[in-house]
Amino acid sequence: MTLKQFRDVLLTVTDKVYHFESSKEKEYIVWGEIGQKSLRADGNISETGIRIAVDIFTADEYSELPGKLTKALSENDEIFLRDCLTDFEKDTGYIHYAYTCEVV
Amino acid sequence: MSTISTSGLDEITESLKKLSTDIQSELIDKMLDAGAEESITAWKDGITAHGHVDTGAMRDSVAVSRATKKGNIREIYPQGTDKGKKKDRRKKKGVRNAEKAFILHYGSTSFVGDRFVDDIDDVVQVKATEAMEKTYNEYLKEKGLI
Repeated sequence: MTLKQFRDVLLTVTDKVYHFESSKEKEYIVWGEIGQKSLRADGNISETGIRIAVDIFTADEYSELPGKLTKALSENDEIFLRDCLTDFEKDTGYIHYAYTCEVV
Repeated sequence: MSTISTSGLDEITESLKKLSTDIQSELIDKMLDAGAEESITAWKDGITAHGHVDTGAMRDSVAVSRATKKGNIREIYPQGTDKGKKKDRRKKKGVRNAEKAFILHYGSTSFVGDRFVDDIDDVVQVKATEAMEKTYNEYLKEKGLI
């Protein structure tokens, strides 16, 4: 899966998708590559995956976006959803849903 | 048909069963402490490798939490606050070093977090396990069990 294909998966959830840069929207997704993971076999790299951070920031207390994103990421065989954490940013009033995934 | 039998393993198992609860807990403490030491090193190396060093307060604060220095668990993460290091309003009471690590890991509305603790975890899983196994084997040798 290429990064553009990954972005397109995110775009099935919302059109407010930003790469690395955050937005002033009330609800949006920001994502960015954070490294690589290599699978080795017999001392050689057989496959390399990309680690990606995906964050939803929303001012909506009961947003449907996290559920939609979780479904979109989980249903794709080329995306491994590593973890998801929810946090409330007191400073900004946004709820932050932080996903970490790996794509191959 | 060939058969495989082991007698040494049975002896070790029986020997371990005979260890008193006090000795068992002493061994567990030693193993966890060895793993914790490696984890602290991995945390400090990871923080430095990811460039999360400004004053160094967060990196230097990584330690076993006070509540878990004994017993069956060790919690390792940046401790305390950076109180007194900066003069701005928010830092009168200091910012918790664990909070700094959390924000650097998961990010905020102003930047994407680099999930640096995942890399630390990958190192810890290997290094801490090795250290604990080594401690266990040394203990068994010391007691003449292997």
